[in-house]
Amino acid sequence: MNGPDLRPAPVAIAVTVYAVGAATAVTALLGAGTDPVAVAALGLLAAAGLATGLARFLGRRRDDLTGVAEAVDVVAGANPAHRLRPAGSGPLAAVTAAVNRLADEREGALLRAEASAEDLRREVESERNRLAGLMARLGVAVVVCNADGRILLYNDTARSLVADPALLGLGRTVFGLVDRGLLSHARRRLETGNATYTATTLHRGRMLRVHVAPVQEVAEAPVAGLVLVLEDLTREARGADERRRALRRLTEETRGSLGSIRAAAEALLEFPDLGEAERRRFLEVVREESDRLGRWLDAAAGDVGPSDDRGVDDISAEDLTVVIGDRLRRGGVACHDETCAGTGQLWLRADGHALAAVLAALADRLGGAELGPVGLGLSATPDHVRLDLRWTGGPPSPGELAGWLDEPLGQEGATTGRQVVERHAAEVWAGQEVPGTAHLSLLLPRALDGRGDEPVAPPAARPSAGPPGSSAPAGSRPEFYDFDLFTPATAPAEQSSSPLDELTFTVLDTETTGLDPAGGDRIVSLGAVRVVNGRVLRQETFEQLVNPGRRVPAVATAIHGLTDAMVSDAPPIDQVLPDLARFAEDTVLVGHDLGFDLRFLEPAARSAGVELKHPVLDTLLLDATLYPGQPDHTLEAIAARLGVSVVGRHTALGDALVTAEVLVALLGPLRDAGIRTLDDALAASRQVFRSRAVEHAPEA
Amino acid sequence: MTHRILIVDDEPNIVMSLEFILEQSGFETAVARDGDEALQEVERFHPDLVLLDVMMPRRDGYEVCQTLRAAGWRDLRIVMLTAKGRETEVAKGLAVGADAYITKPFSTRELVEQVRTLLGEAG
Repeated sequence: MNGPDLRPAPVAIAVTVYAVGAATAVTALLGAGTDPVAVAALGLLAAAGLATGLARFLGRRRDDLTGVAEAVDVVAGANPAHRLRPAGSGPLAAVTAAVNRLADEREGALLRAEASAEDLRREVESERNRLAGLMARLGVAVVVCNADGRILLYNDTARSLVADPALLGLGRTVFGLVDRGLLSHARRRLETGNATYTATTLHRGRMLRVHVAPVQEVAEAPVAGLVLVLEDLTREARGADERRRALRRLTEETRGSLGSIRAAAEALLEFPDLGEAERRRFLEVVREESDRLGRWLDAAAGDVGPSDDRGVDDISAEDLTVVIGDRLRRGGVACHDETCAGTGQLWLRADGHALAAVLAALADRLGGAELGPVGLGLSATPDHVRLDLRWTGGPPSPGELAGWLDEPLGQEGATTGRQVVERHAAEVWAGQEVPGTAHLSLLLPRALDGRGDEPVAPPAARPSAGPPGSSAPAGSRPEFYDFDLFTPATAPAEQSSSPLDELTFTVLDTETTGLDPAGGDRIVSLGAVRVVNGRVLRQETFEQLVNPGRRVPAVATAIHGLTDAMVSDAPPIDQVLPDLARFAEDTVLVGHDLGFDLRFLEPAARSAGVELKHPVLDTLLLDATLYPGQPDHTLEAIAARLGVSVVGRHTALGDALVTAEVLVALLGPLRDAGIRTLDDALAASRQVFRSRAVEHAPEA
Repeated sequence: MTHRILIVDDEPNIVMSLEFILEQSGFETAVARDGDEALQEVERFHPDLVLLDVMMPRRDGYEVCQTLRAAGWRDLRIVMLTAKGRETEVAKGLAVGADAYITKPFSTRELVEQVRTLLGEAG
């Protein structure tokens, strides 16, 4: 790892400027502050000033003194260890010795500053590593995001919970994972004094419980970020659903049979002068229903396991209406609050976000924005809380409503609205209590015990699933965090003027059936990796074989090793491109000789209806910009020149990884060459592309 | 004048006892075995009170109740009769227009008393 470059720019600038006017230089230096290096430089400059002043005064020693001045430039600029050669005796010898003493002191100061900066950096680094190591071993999934929702840390458990690298990645927003409304609501609660906030949310058909805690430098400070602890409740919730259903079926069937038995028995008792035939009929009912009851009990004994009610937390009615209102408005419903006064302090045992998802889905089915103004009302009885959506018009039929409730919320296989309603022991119906005004009502039981406005404490962390001490060997720990991301995100619109090393890149490579897309050659594999804040994130990759829809020629197989059999079961390119586009969202696309890959990707993207509107950079052109004299700009040649080790070449992901390392290695030289922003890099690339095109053009 | 009661339930074993007990108690009865039949029987039989089971195939009791009220049967007494015992279900039944909600198993004597009260007959 490189130490920070501690040679301050003002020194070099000041010494150069001195040739023009010492006064300006002194001003520039004073402006640089009073750090030891600057002070040393000031001394050096004074010495240089003395030397040059003497030269002007004495005239005849001009050549000697010019030599001294140049040597001082070397010490101040290129090499702090450089010293002046001792020169005879007299004033020149004294000046030379003084300059060398000053140079000694300056070099010492530089080294000390560098050493203490290095210590500090190591200390910070090791603290960060300790924290990240701690997070990595937690058995619960942890994701930390900054105030904008950009992810700056996640652990292994989070990665196994969310397998999609397009959703969970450093620098990505967390909203692909946890609903934006939930987090902004959580943030409001945290800013108004709650220590933590807990809610349940649906993510691609899975039920997640999310505990949210703020990241603050001190209490009361603005919320700089959020720590999210995620638990997957899907299996527990499903188990609980099944138990609840079984129990319910049992109670209902039992009550039905008991009702028949009791009515028959009472008929027998109340009317003793029954005829024999009627008496027998009632007794048959008793026997038949008793048999049925027994069968139900036997069947139910297997279904009803121990109860587990972890699927639902308490929520205040106020929170619930806020969450539901937010969700409806985001779905385009013109929703306004009609809550009765005094109901806000009620507590419900409810999963507000899941209920909001159900009501939003129903409101959408009812017509969404076309419903016009929708009132969201909350009223309470001692046992229930009733939520009403009211709008001008007619209610849906019970059959329609039942059909909508059976639809999955989100993707197929996801929880249905009915399951969420059942889980809450809630009831839903629609009707028209006031002529002209339809209502959709949700009736929820109130939480059994009243409770104060106490924050909900997160449960104790479960022990890690892995064996104790099973940490990865030092140095191989994947990069799961980047605390520099606490600073606000670079919006895509600002990408062009942002420093290159603060951008997020997607470095990609393709393998193909040949070199000629117009002649029918196609992509057989795609690989990509993310580069965030100047680091290659080796665990955030995209790798996909692609069915080219044609034979793979032997000559191509010889290069990348992919055969017809290996790609025949792979998806075609138009199914792969949307995933790649999601993976590369809001980043700069980079490749080596990227023009080649784009000639294959762009027509495919057009036919798949995917927009590849990312800015693009080519490591070949960047290298040619920096080192126009080098004869060879192949990936191997650049990697060798820059000291990047090459592993796994000629697989799409392997080449993408090498290209990513090359890109990172080029960032420093680009900065030194004055190519600082994306715009600079794009302009330089265009220029070198044009001049190469001219050079390589056939002669007229 | 004899009050008419429509019994709506898809479970013959309870219908048999209810029919017998209500007739013995001096009511005129009719029976419907599902929600659609119930709506037809109301039109035909013009009952004063409906004993309405909630869980039935096709149209459930809530829907029948709501449909009847929406169709203008304001004075018709509706007693929901059900194995669903959850608090929210009782509340929903009353919200869609039922006059009373009785959970199975119930005492037939109390049921008859409830019916008489709702119909304004002296206990």
